[in-house]
Amino acid sequence: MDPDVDHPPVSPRTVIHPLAVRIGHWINALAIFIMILSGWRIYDASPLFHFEFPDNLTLGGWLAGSLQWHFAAMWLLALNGVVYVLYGVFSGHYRRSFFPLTPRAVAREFGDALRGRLSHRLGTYNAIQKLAYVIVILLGAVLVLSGLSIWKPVQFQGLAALMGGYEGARLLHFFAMAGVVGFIVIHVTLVILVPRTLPPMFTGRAQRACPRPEEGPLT
Amino acid sequence: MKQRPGRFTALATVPPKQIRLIERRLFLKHALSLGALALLTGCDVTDVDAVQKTLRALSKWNDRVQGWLFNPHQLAPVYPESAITKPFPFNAYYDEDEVPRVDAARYRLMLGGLIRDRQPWTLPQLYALPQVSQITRHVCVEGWSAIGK
Repeated sequence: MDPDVDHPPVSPRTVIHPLAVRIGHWINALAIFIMILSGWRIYDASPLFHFEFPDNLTLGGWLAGSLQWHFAAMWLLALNGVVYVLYGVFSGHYRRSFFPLTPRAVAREFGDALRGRLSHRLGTYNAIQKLAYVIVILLGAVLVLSGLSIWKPVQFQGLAALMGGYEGARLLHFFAMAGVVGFIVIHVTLVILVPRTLPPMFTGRAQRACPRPEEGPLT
Repeated sequence: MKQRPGRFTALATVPPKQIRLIERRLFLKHALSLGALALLTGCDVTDVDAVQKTLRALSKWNDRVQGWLFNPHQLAPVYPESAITKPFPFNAYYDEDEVPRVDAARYRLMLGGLIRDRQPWTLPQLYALPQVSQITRHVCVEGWSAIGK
């Protein structure tokens, strides 16, 4: 494989995921898991569309139980999210990992991805990954803000008005959830397809500098 | 069992790399069922005493937060008569045509709880109270909302 100047290989044992990011990631994984599964049960109490989530994929047992889970885990999600965003902004983590992010790089690498030629280096994100992470962080913010508007539609009526009122906030909350679920499906599938990306999320350190030759690009 | 041609024979022609990929997918599937298993026990998780205590404590905390958030000058917006949702949805254990008939003369509103005067109220007494009406959005705990008077 040609050396990739945009994504130079990192030396093994280099910390690619700082401790704060790792802790934040796993707290967030737990919080999102609870929020989505309890949220599906809440959705089922009054579905927006002509489908419901199967009961055994939900958390809480019934509407009131799910609301309790949802309104408990929202603190975990929001507090962890605020700490993570502050860390990302002030430590330079976002600037280093996600930017620069140009539409041209996204378009070029999207083409590469379709041809199975996207570059992968542990510790360095390609433009598609950068875009996905930036989008999912924004979706998280949308979920929290629309969630506040649904939780307290009178006290947060100004916020709700930005989203088309209570009903608009409800739709936005649903679609942002769908976006996050889509992200999780892709994220987890890719981790399973390229398992060496998982240990660094615990240890912080890259185990291998370059992809093994026999793996090559996934087609 | 009769072997269906083209189904079992094809496997031998699949390159090993692809089989590895398929195995990974199976792993993914199993990982998902493991998740499903954890979810199936979800109601048990909710029933665990410590979990119940935590959820109830956070629920009480949320009540306090609601108290802090509440601003008596920030009231629900009111709407014109034309914005009223028709028909207005309602939750009951019966359909609209099965609404029980109430004899107005014999109707009594019973009161209970931590109050001094538990005297039941009659309809004329209730009608004699000062009345206000407002057209506003009713938000149900189930998630739906409707504008009513």
